Amino acid sequence: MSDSTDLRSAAFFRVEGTLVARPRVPAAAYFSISGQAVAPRALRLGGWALAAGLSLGGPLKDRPLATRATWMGLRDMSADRLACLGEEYYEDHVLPKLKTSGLDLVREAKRQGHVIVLLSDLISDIVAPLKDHVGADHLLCNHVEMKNDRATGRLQDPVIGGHLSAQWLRKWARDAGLDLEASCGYGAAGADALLLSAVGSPCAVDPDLKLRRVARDLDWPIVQA
Amino acid sequence: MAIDLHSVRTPEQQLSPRTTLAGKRIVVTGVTGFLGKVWLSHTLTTIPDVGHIFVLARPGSEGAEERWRKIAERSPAMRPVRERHGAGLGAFLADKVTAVASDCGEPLCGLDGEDIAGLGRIDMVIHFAGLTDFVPDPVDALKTNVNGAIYVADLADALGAPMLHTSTCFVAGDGSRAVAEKIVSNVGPNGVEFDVDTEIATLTAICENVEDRKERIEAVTDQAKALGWPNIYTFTKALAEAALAKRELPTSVLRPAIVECAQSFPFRGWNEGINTTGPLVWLLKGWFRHFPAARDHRYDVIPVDDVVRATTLVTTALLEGVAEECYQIGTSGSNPISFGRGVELNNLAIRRAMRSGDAKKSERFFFRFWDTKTVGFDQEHFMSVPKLRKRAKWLQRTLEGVPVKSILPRRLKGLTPQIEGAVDNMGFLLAHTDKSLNRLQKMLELYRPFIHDNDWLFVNDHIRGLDLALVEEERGIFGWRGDTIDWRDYWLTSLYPGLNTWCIPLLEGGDVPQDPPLAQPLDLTPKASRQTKAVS
Repeated sequence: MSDSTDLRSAAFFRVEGTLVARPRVPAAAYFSISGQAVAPRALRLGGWALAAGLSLGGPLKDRPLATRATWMGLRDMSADRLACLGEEYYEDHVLPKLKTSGLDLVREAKRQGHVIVLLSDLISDIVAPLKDHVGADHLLCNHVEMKNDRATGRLQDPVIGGHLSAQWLRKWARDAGLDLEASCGYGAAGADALLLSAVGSPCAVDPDLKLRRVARDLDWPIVQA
Repeated sequence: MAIDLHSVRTPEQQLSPRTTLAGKRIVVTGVTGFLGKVWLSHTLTTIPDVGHIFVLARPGSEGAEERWRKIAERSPAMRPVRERHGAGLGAFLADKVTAVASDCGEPLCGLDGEDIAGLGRIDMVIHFAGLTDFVPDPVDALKTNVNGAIYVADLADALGAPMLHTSTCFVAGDGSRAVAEKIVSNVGPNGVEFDVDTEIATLTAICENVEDRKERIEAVTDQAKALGWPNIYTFTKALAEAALAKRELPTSVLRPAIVECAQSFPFRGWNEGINTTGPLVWLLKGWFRHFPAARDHRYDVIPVDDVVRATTLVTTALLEGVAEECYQIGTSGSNPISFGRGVELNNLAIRRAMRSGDAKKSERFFFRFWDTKTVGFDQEHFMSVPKLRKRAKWLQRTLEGVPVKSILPRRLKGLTPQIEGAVDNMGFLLAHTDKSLNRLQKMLELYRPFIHDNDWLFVNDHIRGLDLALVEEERGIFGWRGDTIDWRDYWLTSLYPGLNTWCIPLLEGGDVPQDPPLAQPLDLTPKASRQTKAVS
């Protein structure tokens, strides 16, 4: 644990919506239909559709369980396939969707001397190269649990998602030597409100209706690209 | 079988190939082949102080020198040498390499006493030449794989030099097991005892007395199978090892596993000719979806440049008098990859190539979802080759019996000739499909012992032992990398792209590119003759 006098300020960026526009093909669905065998593809896709439906408006909304259920379709996928599909998805659906406004905010945060932290509910096989691409210091994303080089279908703890608990984030920041009060945060969806409320200077970037409402209520600045 | 690194026998002295091979005069066969060419290029690039290399090559119709000149000028394997020496290439090669017209299938490789004396002092003989077809004509296999090795050993004897003989890990024959680095000269893989001279005599008698090629192949295949070897290739290679083991000559046997595309030398992906993996990858590249192979069995692939590094290390050990009798150059012992993983990596490589290549949109979409999977050889399934053949035959027979004229309604009678033509065409296509499937079935049968029936673990302690003795500053050039190959990276960036460029076009009846000719034809006249020319 760092001494409080050594703490540095950081800029937290939620990748989805802030740095990268929402892709047309959801990542978990893309992985589900790209399995090796035909029959499991249908099952995986069905599982993903169910999880997506439940998390959109159902009982799993914004819960870790929804994120876990979304990625369950990766079960039994090999590490080779995860890496290759991740690379494909990154090149086809992440890089082309990078938002100039988000990159400008990262540049500005770096100029101000903030430590750059990216948060993403995508899996590391997809989003890991983004850290180097934007020159971030930390990337908090999901990791697929593997056994004998095959995915178990579970995500490793902690599950990163819209529901990320402020308590966990505070602990992580303390361990990383970051002062949340002196830090800023950028989010785009209603679920990011928890993240933004944990930092000293929150900011909504191209927010959805829910976050826009919260931002107005709490007087957070809104950046509209 | 777990391999304990502490059991690796390491020579007490340190090994420096550059120091040991400096000034050495080496005779080498098989430089027109895949492995030999890369070794020569690597040696000329990394040990420019080597004394002299005599390349034994069949003269063919153009002469040995011309064949060598063409390799030096145009072969992609020689790129590093060409790039290093530029305008001075001719002078360098003339100083370092001499092509000698010879034939390994003849006693003393067809060289007479004068030729042998003309070679001067020779420090080492390296024998790469060999026939790698699984089912060659036994006459050729006897001449090249068996007698070739014996005649090269005779030549090494006459020259008073040690010999490095290139064999194959698959002399192990049938039977899933861990294979030791040991030459077994009197017991077949199935445990039946044999006498190598008697077997060679039997093989020779078959070659001399059976006129029909097909019958010769059957007879020698039976001879091989009676001792536990699956085909003529592995049998003749094993006989050569056994014959060499009886001699007093200091010899080491190098047994590479499946030699495939280069990791880095002469450049990433380099391959030549149709090797073992090429036809399999070609199959998986098309519509073939159920690949009959044992998913969990080891697929022992080794990049050609790692075999080349090993060759130089073993040569060094032989020259220093610390070599073992046998070195297995494979990865199944220390960094294995299974067939299941290989097939999936192949799918992923195809997927990647389709994204970045010139494939049509429809092809990209189709192959993205057309992944191959492994199935049992005799497993009955919808897409198995025998079933596909059966369906093609049934359809052909059915179409033949269709009385087009009588079943057409009166209004369509006018179209009878066109419809009969279309039915005929369909019948022709189906017959062609049946023939292709038959060829495919035969090819898969040839591969069966290697991809399905046997699971070998080739112990590779000896080369790892030499690697430990290597001086640190030469590890980057000659060190053993087999244990650290990242298979995903190798498959996606070296093996598949390499085969796609250098092998698959040949399987599809096309050609592969040679490097462009040099601006000036290569002058390989030795220095002394150049000076004489200049004076005159």
